[in-house]
Amino acid sequence: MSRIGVFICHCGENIGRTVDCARVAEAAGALPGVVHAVDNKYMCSDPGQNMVRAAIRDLKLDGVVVAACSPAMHEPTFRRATFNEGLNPFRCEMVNVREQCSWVHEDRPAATDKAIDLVRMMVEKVKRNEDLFPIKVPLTRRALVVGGGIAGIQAALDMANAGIPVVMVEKEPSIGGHMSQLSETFPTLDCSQCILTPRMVEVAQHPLITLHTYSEVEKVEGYIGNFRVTIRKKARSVDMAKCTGCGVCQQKCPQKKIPSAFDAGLGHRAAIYIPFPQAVPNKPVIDRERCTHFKTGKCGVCEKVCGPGAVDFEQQDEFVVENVGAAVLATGYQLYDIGDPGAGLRGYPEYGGGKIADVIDGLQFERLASASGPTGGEIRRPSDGKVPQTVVFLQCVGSRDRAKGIEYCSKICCMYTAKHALLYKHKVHEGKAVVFYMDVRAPGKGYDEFVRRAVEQDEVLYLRGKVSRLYEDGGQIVVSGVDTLAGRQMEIRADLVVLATAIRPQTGAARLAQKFGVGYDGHAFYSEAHPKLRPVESAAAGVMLAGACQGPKDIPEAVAQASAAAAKVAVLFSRETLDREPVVARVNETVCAGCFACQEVCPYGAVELNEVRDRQGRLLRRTARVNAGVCNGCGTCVATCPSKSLELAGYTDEQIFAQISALVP
Amino acid sequence: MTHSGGVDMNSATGSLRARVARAADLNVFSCYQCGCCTAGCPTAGRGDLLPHQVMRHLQLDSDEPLSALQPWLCVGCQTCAVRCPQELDLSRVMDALRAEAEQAGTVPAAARRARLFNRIFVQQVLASGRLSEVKLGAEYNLRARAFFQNLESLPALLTRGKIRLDGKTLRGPGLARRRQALPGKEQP
Amino acid sequence: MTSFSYYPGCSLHATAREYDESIRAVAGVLGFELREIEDWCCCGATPAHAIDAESAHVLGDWNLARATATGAGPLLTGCASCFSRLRAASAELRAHPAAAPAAAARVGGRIDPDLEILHVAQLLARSDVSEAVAAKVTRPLNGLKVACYYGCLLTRPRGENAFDDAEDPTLLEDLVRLAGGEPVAWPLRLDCCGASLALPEPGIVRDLSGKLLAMAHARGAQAMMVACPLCHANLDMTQPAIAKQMKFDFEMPVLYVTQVIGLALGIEPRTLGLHRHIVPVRVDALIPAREANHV
Repeated sequence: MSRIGVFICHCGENIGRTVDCARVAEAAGALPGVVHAVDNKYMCSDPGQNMVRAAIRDLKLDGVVVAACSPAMHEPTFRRATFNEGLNPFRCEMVNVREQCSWVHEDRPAATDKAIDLVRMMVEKVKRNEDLFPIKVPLTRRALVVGGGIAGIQAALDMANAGIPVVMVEKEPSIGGHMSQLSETFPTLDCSQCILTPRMVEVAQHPLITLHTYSEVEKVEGYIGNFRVTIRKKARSVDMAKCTGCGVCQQKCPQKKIPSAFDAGLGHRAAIYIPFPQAVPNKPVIDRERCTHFKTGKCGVCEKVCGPGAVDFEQQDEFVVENVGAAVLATGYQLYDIGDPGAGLRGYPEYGGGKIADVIDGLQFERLASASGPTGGEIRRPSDGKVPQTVVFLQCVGSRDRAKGIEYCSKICCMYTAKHALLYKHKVHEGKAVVFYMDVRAPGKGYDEFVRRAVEQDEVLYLRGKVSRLYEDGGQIVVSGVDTLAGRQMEIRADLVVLATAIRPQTGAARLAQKFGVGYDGHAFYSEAHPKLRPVESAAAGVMLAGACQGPKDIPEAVAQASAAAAKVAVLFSRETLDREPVVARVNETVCAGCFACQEVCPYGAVELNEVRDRQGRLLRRTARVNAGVCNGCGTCVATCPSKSLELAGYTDEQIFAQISALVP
Repeated sequence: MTHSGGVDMNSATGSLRARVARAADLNVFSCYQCGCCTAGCPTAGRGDLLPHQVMRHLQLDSDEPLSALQPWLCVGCQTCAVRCPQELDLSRVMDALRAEAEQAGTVPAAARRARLFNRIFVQQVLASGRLSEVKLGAEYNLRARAFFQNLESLPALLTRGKIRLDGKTLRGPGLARRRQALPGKEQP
Repeated sequence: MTSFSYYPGCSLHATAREYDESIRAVAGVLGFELREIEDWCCCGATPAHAIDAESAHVLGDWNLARATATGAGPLLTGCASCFSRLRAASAELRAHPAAAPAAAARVGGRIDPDLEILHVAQLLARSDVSEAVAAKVTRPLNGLKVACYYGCLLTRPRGENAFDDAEDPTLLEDLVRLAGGEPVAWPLRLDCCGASLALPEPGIVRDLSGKLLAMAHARGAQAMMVACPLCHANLDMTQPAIAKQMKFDFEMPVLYVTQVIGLALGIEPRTLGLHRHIVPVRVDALIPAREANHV
């Protein structure tokens, strides 16, 4: 006969208001196998926990049922108390009589009856509970960082400086991300490249950082502590070992009119190119889609002029496997494209749909304002190179726009628009800068002061209202807007229009998330494990998040999150081994028919092939076997198995049926 | 989907805001006053309230839009609707406001012509099922006391066969059936 | 022979009768049978739903019921306003299927909720029809510069059975190219001409339509093309008054889409009703004969 103790919590008024806890205790005490039943105002408090411990000790309980809040809240608390009294913690179970009972009902007698039912069911389960022991898994103390923008760089350096070897994967030929494209940064106006490039060099030179640029994550296997990551190193067509980065190849390449992605399409590059002068690594790559040699088999100038003979047209994609214990995803953002916004989103044909040369986006303006940009930092418009005398800035283009498919605020545009307008006024004193805005959101340190400075000192004209459409007329752009504060339509003829387009996750963000089992929202921004208390971890164990891949962020926020993610990895790596919950599936190999239906449905790849052999080593049959280190205990295999050879520890059929029978006698 | 008009502030069910929200099938509180409707409106600024101000007054549950001219200047082009970031169709709001103003007897004097035109149009259509532009123009000019408006184009239209004075347009087969189905009466 | 139920609407029996004539002429060349709905009503246009939602519904349902009874295939119309009202009535019925029986009873006939409603320009742009037109072009427009004017109601609202993209339509331009003309890029093609304000607020209409004519003229258009009798009235009939107000005579011929296609198909200008326009359409000057031989 079992010796089970039942403990009913009032949770202050939360449960007690709707459930008659004393009556539940009374009913529980009468159940067969229950030797002790008691209620208490706060079971999770120290005195409450001590009641549980005392009962285990004094009454020699072999099972504990706590009827209280959600097990997500306090199961660890009560299992620890149980463990501390020498009883296997998996003999302690919680019944949720708060979220699933008192909070959702009003009728006190009925709610009390339901609570009694729930307790009776759990008592029947606990009678059949067995001792379970945490699964120890070894830990690879090495971390992966996906993305080499400022967030990835910060996370990698923090971890490496803490002694953790880091593998960084960047899909572009150079690290640096969007921050390397920026001119000056708000609100201090310090030069973006000046503060970033030393960090880039530090990454390249750090003895503990292995850098894979022009590379992408191809496949992820394994689990927390033991990921096996396959990386595709795309063919650069340049032998990195031989190349000295002299740059002669890109000077001699006859293909020079290719729009440069680094210059946001406003400048040009060759078919063999180093993306920008401070690139890390400072070595070129051949754009095979535009290279004459790859298109026609002719040319080959770069190969001829390369002294060290580093150009290699035959190079193939390479695959590298890296074993890591944790990963930081820092894949960053892209800007919403008003002409071709992508699936599910609507563009802005009413703003010219990207076809008006002098309607540009924020990153393009950064390149115009940057000393390293195509105009050497002079504000000259793309169509004819003239210095614009009237520049109109539009905020919330795509953002906060349900009709376009993006309802969120992109967060950084208010600040960078103020910065753009101010930079323009600093460079073109007599020019006119006009900003159309809906709200100015500047809640950072020194941020609102910065916006006020643009308005009060630099005479940027802020008009509250949205623009209905833009069109080209006589070498200018007609802006049909409104000033809702003055209450009148505002038609302005501008020489240049700068759109603060929405921040979106990078292309392929969802695909990468699927590889890591990381959740994401409808826009493919990665989901944090808890919005308040676990903001830098994903729900996938061992995978952290940093930067704009999780939501629009400015540089200080991205850096802070990256450091936090690095700290989370360091905490994880502070242990010798990892403990995993023993709630995993197990195969009864004597009855398993080896159909492997379980392997088909397992979302974690935890089902392996097991060969049963006789003493002579002859193969008798094949069965399934569950790798306990990989299994997440979801139970899909159990439900699928046609021969009922699988069961889930802690949730066996016997336990579940006993619970059902207790409810429906 | 039907919207009640959002928050029920001081018994809003019978309020102008609630009735307009119901008729136009939208939540007036979805409007965040960006003014895009006003920015693109071909007639805004010729009236009194601007389109976004009409929405604001509805949010405040003020009766001011009832006597506003702007709804009567709305051409129903739906530029506001296709560009509204919150997907609100203001042309339907204007429709609802005109009907409300008719009922409340608050049509502003400046809307006299637009109101007269709409009424004559609908009365004529409901009388016979079809519309004669000549008859519409004639009755309108008469009742609006704009006797000579558009008269200069009359000869050109007649010689080009664009209009006829025999009323044949109105008849066509099935006149009796149409008259029976439609609620209107031929105006004297 | 492909057949259609045809809803001309009030204007096409009166001031826009050349639109009706050109629709019938083009349909004839392409071998389409148009069966005019016998006892159609006015669609109600803007005034009906502007002040009397109930009557607007009855008018829409009446026409859909008569079209269903005609049973000659998709319902074809040439007027942007009629198209918009018929679409709205049909969308309303689909959105509220429970109200459909009462609506049918009120107008005395079954209504097919899935009845396809087509604007004439949509039909011409359908790939099979475009191919048929291309094969029959005998008098291409020889690069005539045409400003396509959509106006407001043709492409709006968005949603089911829309004419084309609400902000970036290309359908009319495609038809101009099909006829051998050259569409002019101009920014006001979706702006409103003033529509039904013609009688109550003629000043507004002159302002709005004047802006359209000026822009089309500035962008080098030799002609404008419309797919709506109201737009035509405001741009063609009102043009002398606009010229007087703006002190500039645009002399801008305004053609219906079926007149443009009809000319390319070699149909006689008189058959297409071009002589009925207020602003004269001098076909020989617009499409020089010398190049007409290179077919």
